[in-house]
Amino acid sequence: MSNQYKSILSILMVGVFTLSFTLEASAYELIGHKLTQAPYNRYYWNDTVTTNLGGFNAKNNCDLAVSAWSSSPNTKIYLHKTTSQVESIMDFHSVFKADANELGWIVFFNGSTQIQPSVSDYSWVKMHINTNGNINWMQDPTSYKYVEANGKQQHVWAHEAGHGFGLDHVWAASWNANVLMTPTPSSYYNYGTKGPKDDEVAGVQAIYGKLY
Amino acid sequence: MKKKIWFPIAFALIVTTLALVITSNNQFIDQPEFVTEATHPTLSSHGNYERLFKNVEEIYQFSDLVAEITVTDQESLEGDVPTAVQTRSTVQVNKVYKGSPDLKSIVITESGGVTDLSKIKKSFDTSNQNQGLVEITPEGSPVIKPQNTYLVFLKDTKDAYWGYTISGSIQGKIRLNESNMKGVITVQKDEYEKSKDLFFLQRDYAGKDKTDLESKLSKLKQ
Repeated sequence: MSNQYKSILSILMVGVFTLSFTLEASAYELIGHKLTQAPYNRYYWNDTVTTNLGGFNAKNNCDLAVSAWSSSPNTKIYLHKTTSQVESIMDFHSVFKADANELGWIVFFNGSTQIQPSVSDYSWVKMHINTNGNINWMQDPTSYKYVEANGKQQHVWAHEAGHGFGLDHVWAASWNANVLMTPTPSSYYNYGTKGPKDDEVAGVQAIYGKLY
Repeated sequence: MKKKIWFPIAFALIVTTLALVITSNNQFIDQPEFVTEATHPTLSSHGNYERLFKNVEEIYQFSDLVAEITVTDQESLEGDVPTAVQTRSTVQVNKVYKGSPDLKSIVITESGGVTDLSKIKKSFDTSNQNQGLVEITPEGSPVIKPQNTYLVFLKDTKDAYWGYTISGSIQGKIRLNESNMKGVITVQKDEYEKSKDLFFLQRDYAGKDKTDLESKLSKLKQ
């Protein structure tokens, strides 16, 4: 092979590598703004979440999801449970919606004003799980490795909490990637993901800083 | 000899560069029209969905009914929690692409819609208690609006009161401009720009005549 061809080949390989790296680099996405106070040693409230969502304890699954976030390494995330909704920065609710495809959702508030998290910071968030959702129903259970309803509920709560901390959906990456913030529970079905992965940990560290 | 080598390489580089520019910016393609449908300030919610689709083929296969509809009547249902508002629309069926061709009028229920946030209680901060009426838009996508025409992909809830829901929650609907029957984008621009794969109907058919989508649907029906 002539030197000329070798040079061209080298340049092309560098170009392809750079392009691949650029496309894969965005491991987490930010929603734009964040909680006005870091969620460290603060409170969450889930008094009204049902303990019987299709025969599964959604409140306990919520506690486990928050615990997964509080256990994330070297992050300024640690939430205690409270029975006082007033001091909570994360309120969890279980409510009915006709659209069974919508498993959970979140809205953002600053005081009593609902805000757009892409525009301004927020002091608390309100998260919901759909009691009519396919939360206890598994897409094609024979095709997936993880098909247990408690795990799926934990995934949905942890996903919504991720939004609450300031993470957006990971649209650019494969929707089947093993990250918590894909817009469907595919990472639970395929990998059993019920809490933050390295990408989400890096995301909240970028937002609130590291603990040490 | 050198010229013979460099010409095809230079040509390939130019073509590749042009392709990248076109696909990344769409600047040589007709820009789709963004339409604001909301009658109140909009606020996005962000969710988790059981199933989302990547193209028309997938959503068509999943849907029980695919139709062109015009919204004739609508009500907001706040339920116990104002942030869980749903909108129940009665719609006239103009044309059926999949499903029963005899349908004349159906009900579509969507997440989101107009709600009264002054009912929200969080007593540690009593400022701005009168935020009042806003429209909650899941992922920046507003609910369908009265008098407007849409092409919709629907799933039957099997409940007469709730009727149908949108396949993929926010994915299976695209508004048609009534004056020229071209697709338009009703999703908030910033939300659309960051998640065009989610709004593939708008990405692929906004700015185009509805016959483009009809042609695709007729092929899928065969």
